[in-house]
Amino acid sequence: MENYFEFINSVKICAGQNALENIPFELDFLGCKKPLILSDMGVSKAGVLDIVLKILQNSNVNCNTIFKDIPADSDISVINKIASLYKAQNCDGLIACGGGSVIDTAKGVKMVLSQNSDDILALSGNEVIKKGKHIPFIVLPTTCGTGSECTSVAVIKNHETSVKMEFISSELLPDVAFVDVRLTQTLPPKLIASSAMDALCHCIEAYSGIQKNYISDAYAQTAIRLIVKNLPVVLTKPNDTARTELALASTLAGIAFSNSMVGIVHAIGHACGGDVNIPHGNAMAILLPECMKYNLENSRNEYGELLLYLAGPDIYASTPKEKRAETAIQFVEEFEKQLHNVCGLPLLLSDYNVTEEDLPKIAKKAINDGAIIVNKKPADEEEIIKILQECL
Amino acid sequence: MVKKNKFCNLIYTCLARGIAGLYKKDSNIKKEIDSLPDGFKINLGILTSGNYIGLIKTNNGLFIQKNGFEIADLNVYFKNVKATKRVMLARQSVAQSYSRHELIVGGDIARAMVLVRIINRVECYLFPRFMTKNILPKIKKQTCTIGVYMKVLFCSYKYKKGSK
Repeated sequence: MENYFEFINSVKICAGQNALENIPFELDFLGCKKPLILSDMGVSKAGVLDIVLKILQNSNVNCNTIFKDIPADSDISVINKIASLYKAQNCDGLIACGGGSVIDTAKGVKMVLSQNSDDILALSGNEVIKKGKHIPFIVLPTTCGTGSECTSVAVIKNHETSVKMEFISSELLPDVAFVDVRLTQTLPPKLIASSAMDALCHCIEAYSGIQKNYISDAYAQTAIRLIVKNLPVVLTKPNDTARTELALASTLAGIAFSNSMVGIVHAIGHACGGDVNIPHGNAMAILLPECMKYNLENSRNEYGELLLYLAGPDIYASTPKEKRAETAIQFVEEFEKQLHNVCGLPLLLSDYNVTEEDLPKIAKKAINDGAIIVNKKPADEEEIIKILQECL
Repeated sequence: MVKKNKFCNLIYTCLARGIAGLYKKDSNIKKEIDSLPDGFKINLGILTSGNYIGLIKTNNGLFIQKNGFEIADLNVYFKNVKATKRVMLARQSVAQSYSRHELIVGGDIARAMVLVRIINRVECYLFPRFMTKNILPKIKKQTCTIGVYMKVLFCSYKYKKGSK
């Protein structure tokens, strides 16, 4: 653990039964009467947006301004378009209802509006954004993986240059996040498994990276316990409690990694997403065990400690201390195989037709990803290619 | 008016000269610098003390702009003088400094990763192994350290406006 750390999570979390009913109250508290509602077609077709709109319509909130055309990758031109709509319609707050892309787009819109900036690219980077005008911002996450509702990070694509720009600032944090079973109950099992693996990865990387700290450790430990307990239940015999706890785990994992960052799994996973179009959660599932093996000697203590939260107290207590880290990795592998058997979660890069020839360009991109810097064990292109070869 | 830290100016100059000098002597550093587009400008500095130095990539290597550029493509600033000294005197790595929130990066973070790798490699030349062994991986040096010191002491690599 470093002898200095910073931790921030200013997001109010409304979690559990009937949480969504409190949206009008929270908007009123924030002084927002006419929010701009952001979502995408998938969320809209699944009927999730209708649930939210019905609640707003039964209050004194004006919910007529809705933007549903958010693409799969948050995009600069879409952000500028939404910011113009916000101004033209005299909106006074933002509601993001969707997955990572919708939430990141909303964060981009918030940045442009609060900084009164015409050029979002000028705001890219780490901690460069200064305190701006307050834009009331509520997030309703509809997946159980990104944790974006509680992170200081947004990834936004510049389609002109095909470059994904990273924005890291506490100014991106929403005011309120809602965790309600109604937001995730239409998610298909495979997507639940893949997004939950993303959350598990957030926890393990946050707990074992060089930016780890005592507070985010606590969030990561709890989130791991909730994922391992609830994910199999949600996939086989779903109930509201398990769904809520799984969604909450994603939020907690988001808080953990927002403060401790992620590592090599995400660095390679982002490159896989950009170059060979592997969905992020699936890339995490494929890469996690091999990356843990790569990090083993540098993160032995942390992985050993995580065995308690992964496998429970009985296995932890009966495993010799020097074997706990390896057992934790084995547990992750077995857990993933179980998910593969239940819902077909892909476990190999070859499931996406990735070949040996694709590996150098993935590795080249991965070493330039911001996440690589906080991985405990440094990695170069050759080492990343070796990891990828093990995942083929 | 913030008083500039003279010692930090000196160590920034040494680092910048080390980078510029190693461009032609170390193939890894050359490869990293060549991955940047010509005309790419970097400002390195300390936010609270006003110490800045600029680096510009040209088709002939990297050159130095005293006091930095007015507008740069990548700005990497330390939040305070102590954090700068810890990194520049090899008492902690750039990665450790980043994880302690001591670094502010303005611009493309992927480009900042290139700069981090360059600084790490240059520090391996500038400092003896006993100083860097706990913070940086061992590298295979491609030129002798004395040669690098000579370049740091006697070559200014000053950027002349208009040269590309």
